[in-house]
Amino acid sequence: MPILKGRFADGKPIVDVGLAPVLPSPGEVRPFAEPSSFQMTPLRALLDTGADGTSITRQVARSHNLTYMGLRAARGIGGRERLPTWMTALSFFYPEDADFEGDNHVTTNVFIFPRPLLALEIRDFDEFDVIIGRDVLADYQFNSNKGDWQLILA
Amino acid sequence: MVASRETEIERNYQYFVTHVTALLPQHRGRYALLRHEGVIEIYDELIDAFVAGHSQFADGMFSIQEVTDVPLDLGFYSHADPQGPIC
Repeated sequence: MPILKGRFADGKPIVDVGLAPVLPSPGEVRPFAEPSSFQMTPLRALLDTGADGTSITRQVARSHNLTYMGLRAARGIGGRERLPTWMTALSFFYPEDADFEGDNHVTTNVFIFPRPLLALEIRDFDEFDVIIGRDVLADYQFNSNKGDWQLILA
Repeated sequence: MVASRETEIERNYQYFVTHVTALLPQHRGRYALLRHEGVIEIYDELIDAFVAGHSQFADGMFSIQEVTDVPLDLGFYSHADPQGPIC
């Protein structure tokens, strides 16, 4: 079961994620679907139960070949504003114990969120690239317990 | 003159905000596929609106809007200053 966890004392709940366009660009007809792929360079995502929706920074929106899809009213910095929305697929990178012939080590696995998202574009931050809101978190368990937090992706 | 995709999205959005009130009773929370300042179809799922837009409009001149009149609360971002320290 994919679990991401940390301690609030170490900072905000930030996890590694990947973004990808939901579908390849329409082009020639192929006998098989051209898969969309996640960039393996992880992005830093803040888990924010106070956010209605997921948002991505301007730099990330433009560097991940996402599709500009529309506009959306939001309550952002300074009050109500109108922000671009980008079609995106989201994945979480999570650590998993691996045991190969007694060689215990930790590998990184990928959990793909099953629905595409209309992510809002926000200004660039130094500390993170993505804010994951309740449109994603509501599907899973997010717990805090005596200084620890964990997100159970099941 | 051919409008850019940005212009198409802007015009569709202006159309959407002036007509969303009429859409809400039956379609709140669904996804509207728009083109040339009109609603083409409304779908239950975002992915269905996206696939329909791509398959019907090869020029990419369409946009998708969630049928809602409630602005999204952006949580942390609503009170953060990206230029300053995050505390």
